[in-house]
Formats: sequence, C-alpha cells, structure tokens
Amino acid sequence: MTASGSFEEFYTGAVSRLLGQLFLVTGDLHEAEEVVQEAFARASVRWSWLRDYNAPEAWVRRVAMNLAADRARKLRRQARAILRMGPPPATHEVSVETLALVEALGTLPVRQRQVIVLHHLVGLPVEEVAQTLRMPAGTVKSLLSRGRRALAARLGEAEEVGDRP
Amino acid sequence: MSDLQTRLQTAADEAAHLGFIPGPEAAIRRGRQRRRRLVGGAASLVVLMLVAGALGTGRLASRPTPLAPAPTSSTTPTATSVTRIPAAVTKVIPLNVQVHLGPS
Repeated sequence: MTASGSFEEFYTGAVSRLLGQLFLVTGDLHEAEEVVQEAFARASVRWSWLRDYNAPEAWVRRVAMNLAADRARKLRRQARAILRMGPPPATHEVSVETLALVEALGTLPVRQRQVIVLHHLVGLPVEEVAQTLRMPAGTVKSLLSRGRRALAARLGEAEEVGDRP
Repeated sequence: MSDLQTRLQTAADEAAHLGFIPGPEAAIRRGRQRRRRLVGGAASLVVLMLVAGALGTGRLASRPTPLAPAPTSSTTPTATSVTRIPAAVTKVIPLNVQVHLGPS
C-alpha cells in the first residue's frame, strides 16, 4: 500500500479511518482528533521519505498510538486540570451502543485497548500488532486474551443491566 | 469475536462521521510550525551554550593570577663539600688558655 502520490491524497484517504480507530483507543473524540492531527502533522514534514514506505498509514497509526499512550499516562494530571476548569465542553452525540462499547473499553488499560483495536478492528495479525507496539508477540496474545475477557464481562454486565425491566 | 469486530467497526465509523476533520493543509501547517519550533528551540539552546561558554571563559581570563607558592624543592648537596684552608694561612698559633680553679 505505497502512497507515492501527494500528502493531501494520502491524508484524505486515511484520516477518517484513523480517527475512528483512535477514538476507540482514547475513548474521546476530541482527544482522538488531536492525536490524529499531531500524527499527520509529523508525517507531513517527513513525507519526502515516508511516501516510499510500504504502508505510510501504519507509520501514522503507530505515531498516533504512541501519542495516545503518552497522553493516557498524563491523564491523571489532565483530569485534575479539567476539574479545575469546570464542566467539560459539550460532547458529540454517539449512539448508546457505541457509548457502552467505549465505556467498556475505557475500563481497560491503554495497551489492552490498543491491541484489541489493532487486531480486531484494523485486522492486523498478532505479529504486526507486536511490531506496531514494539512488544513481544506473546505479550500481545496475553493482552488480547485478558482484554477480550474483561471486555466481554463488561459488555455482558452492561447488557444484562440494560435488559432488566 | 466477529460480534466484537462488528461493534468496533460500527463505533469507529460513527466516530469518523461525527469527528471534525480539517483539511490536509491544517496538518501541513501544524507540521511546519512544529518543525520551526523544534529548530528554534535547538538554535536558542546552542546560542545559550555559546554565550555561557564565552562568559565563563571571560571570567576565567579576568581573574587575578593566584600567588605562586614557594618552591618546595630543597637544595640538598649532591656531593660532599670540603672546606679547604686557604693557602695564605701557613702558621698556626696555639691558644694560651689559663684555667682558674675555683675554691676547694
């Protein structure tokens, strides 16, 4: 999937896909927009050599995933700042199903969210997920297994709660 | 897990549809700004280091030279010196010493 064309073409083709993926990792659409924009900004200044990559989208995705993980580590500090600033801005209206899924994903550690999104949404095999996140394949398998189990439990609970009269 | 895949895909599509996606020129502009910031930061760091170096060197140069300590090397004779009697002394006069004994 080489992108020998212009940066603009590459951006237009990939940005919404990456935004959706990063939304599921960050759990916040504003955060996902920010992370994706920063990753594309970094790609734009490296486009002269990035265009020759087999998959420049994978490079942007990896940068965005790393940024998302970095920002998740700073979440506690940000949360304190947000509390000081007052109520959060109006959020985008997503469906109940999406909200439940994002909430369930939000209870998982960021690494588990990343492997679930990369493996189940992007469709990368375990080895490529390991390459993207720079971790051993065994760790990816373990994270996937634990993440899926936790997610199923959370979603199952949510649905059980929702089914109750 | 195809159910999970479907749910993830639906949520991602929804987010992509709802999210604000600026044009590519915004990313390009942001990238340029970021590079300018990085280059500017690196340049100011270099200038700061040069100024600090120059100031440090100037201070060292203008500092008065400390007093040199006295040389610690001792002048030990390297060979046994012999005081020779000058050749002009030819006569030795014996001393006339008188001894007075005290009261006994």
